[in-house]
Amino acid sequence: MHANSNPPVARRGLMGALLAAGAASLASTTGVAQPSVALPRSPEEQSLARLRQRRSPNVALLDHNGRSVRFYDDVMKGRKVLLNVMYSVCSNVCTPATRNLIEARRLLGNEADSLQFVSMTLTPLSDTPEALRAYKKLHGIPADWTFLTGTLDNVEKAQRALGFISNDDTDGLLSHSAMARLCDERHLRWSHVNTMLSPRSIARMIRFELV
Amino acid sequence: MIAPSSKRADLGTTPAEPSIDSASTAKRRDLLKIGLATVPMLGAGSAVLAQTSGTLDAGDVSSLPPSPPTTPFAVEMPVMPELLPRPLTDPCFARRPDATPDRAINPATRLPYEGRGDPHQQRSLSPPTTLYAQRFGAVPGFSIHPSLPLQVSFWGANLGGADLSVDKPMVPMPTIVSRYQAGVNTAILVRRFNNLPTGAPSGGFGKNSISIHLHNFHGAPDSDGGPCDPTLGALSENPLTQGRFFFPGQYYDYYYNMKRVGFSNPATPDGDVRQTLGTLWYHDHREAHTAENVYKGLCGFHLVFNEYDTGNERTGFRLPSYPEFDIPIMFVDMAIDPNTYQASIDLLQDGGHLGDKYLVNGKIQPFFNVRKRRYRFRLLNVGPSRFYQLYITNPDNPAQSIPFWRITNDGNLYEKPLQVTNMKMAVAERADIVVDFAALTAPGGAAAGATRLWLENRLIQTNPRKPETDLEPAGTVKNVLLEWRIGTPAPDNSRVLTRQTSFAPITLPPLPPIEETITRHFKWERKNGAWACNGKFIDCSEIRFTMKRGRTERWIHESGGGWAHPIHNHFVEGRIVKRNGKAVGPGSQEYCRKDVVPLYPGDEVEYWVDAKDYVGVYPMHCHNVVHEDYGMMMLFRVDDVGDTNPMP
Repeated sequence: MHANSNPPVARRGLMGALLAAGAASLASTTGVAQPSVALPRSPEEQSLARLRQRRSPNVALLDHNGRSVRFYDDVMKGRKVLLNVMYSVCSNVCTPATRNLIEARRLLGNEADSLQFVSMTLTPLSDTPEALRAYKKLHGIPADWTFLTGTLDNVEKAQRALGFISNDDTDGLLSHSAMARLCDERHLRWSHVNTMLSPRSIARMIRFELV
Repeated sequence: MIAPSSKRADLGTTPAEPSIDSASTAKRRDLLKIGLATVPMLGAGSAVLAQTSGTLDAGDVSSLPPSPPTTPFAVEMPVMPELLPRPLTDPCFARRPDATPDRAINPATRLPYEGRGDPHQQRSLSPPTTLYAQRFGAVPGFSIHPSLPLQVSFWGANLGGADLSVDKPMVPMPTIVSRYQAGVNTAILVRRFNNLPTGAPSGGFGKNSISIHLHNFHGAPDSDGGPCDPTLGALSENPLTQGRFFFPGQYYDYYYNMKRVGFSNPATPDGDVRQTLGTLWYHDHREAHTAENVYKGLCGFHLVFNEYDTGNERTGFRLPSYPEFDIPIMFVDMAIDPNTYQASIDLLQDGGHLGDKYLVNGKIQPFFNVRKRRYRFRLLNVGPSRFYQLYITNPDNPAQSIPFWRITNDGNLYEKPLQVTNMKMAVAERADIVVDFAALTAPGGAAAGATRLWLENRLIQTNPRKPETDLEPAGTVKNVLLEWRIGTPAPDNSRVLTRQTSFAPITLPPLPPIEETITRHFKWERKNGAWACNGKFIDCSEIRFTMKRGRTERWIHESGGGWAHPIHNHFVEGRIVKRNGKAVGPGSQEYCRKDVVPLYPGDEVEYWVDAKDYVGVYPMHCHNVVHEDYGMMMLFRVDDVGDTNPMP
């Protein structure tokens, strides 16, 4: 099921354009969609398919252009993705984290070509697509770097599955802002990159994880 | 499963996240904004407690569903086979096992034949005399319990044969047995081949490039099996050449000189007998992936005998003979996916992993047949995160308090055996115990008349970040690791242990005067959604401090934020001198050389340690291996200059 290549996130906008009015129009959208392809047959494949969906629930989200995307189908499926969380009015770790990631990506050069950078807001109510576009512009973030928002429920579902929201209630909302997830979804390889390290060390970690 | 926060709040003991930035005031407001404050609560704890058939509480912060029920004691505990030596003429050594790494490019993989990046240090002092080989690969369908389907997600190692379909990889991995012998060269070399599968890992976890650490051994960085080493220069920048972990199609020669600490001093070529190591284990240490790889099966015992602890109950200290009556036992708390019946772990939860099934030598809650005599059991807590407090229970009379002899801590013999009724074990700690089934069950014995005894973990832990301090009642079947079934009497030539028994000359070296030491502080804490020490995360390009060979250092370990962390340093072994201001002295189970320093919530522990013989870069880290993977590790160096950085 993963042999076919998927178009990049940015090109998956046609259906989403119909919903581009913004977060309000998505408020009633159901949470987890069924996978877009039939489950494969062998029990092992089935369990891995379930695992893929558990780590990347196929919730409806909005990208920074206001286009609707499905988190698994359109963002994660079959791709190499670096995911982090942020929010646009963040005054502490988000800004250095973003700077470090931008610089790490520059250091990686061609090696980052296969890697999709995705940031997801922790405050979807205030971080509308417009706010995320403004954030991208303010920080000089490359155009092909996707920012995601959406309904509270859907954003939380995705973030909880990714471990960005701790199940331990002594962790605060912002405590996960420094740990990015690095995923080679096709090969079911998941890891993490600490965005508080130097750009050089972040680049090294990404390189080491992608082998 | 979602955190039942009301339950946790009721406990009244939950510590606050350390405030590390200006976020704390924004926290509550943002939580409300995102809707977390209204998450419904599930009564997970009570529901799980009500279950039978040996299901542990998987924890109120676990994201994994409860495992399917299983019947306890349905299968006998296996004992791992011993890895046997191979001659130099064996085809697996066709490429010579030299001190210099074999960095020629293998056309089949376009990688160097060998993953090792640096020559074996000081190998000419004791060239390897015994050679072993192991091949790491996928374990074919493997039963952990008769009522569950075969497990297909494990990786292990075989006995070294080239054909993995005949000599199959197994879990736990084979036991390696070696020996200290003064005046004799007993050095060994283990050639490890990576034959792990490529593509998506079975079960969705596991990284197929590996670095095999020999936990507790006094070895050079080239054979220590650490995660990374920036001193390997340009090599270390490229994942394909970095010199520590090795890929499918590569091998790695690990060299162990089998000399005690101090061997490089010409006056003591066999090293210091007081620093004799005994129960070691080997396991994967892949940077950022140790938890999933060890959980997947990449762990095994490495036992070291010596002139006194001989492995033969007719000689030396006369401890129960290996292998008949000296039994290595490792335990993992595993979660079984109720949909697939396969082992599972949630890789994206950084707090740690708590499983609800004890897997003991690869079987869920097995039994083990013993005779009425003394046995030595070498217990190892593999983790990934759980803390234990172990008791021996008579299930037919749980009120009995049953003593046993603890003879080691972290594989090091005590000066004298300790009679105990329970012991705490953090991840990676080892405890060798001697249980006398004849004396215990005899009339008037502590377990008079018992026909079976349980090894039971009574420590409550529902959060992978720390155990509670409370205990469960004795004789609770879900908490049982192992049932010993006591058979007929058997001849016993091992010695009767008493409080007067001495393991001299294996004693504790005296501590140097405090003026000759330097002091460093290590605060192990949570930060930015990950785990840090002194505010910093592992960075493989940064060496945080340097020990000077021969100088003793006082390390003050502190656990921040109310969590528990078993801290392990590679290469150097030290002593816990104080715990929370109180001196640790004779009679304490921690009065011993140790390589794991367990930190419980709020603890401050003073640990004295020195470095001898080898130079180079080693890691120290939390051995809750999930915390380790999520940043709680640092690199340190050993050389002849050192530094005095008080807070590395």
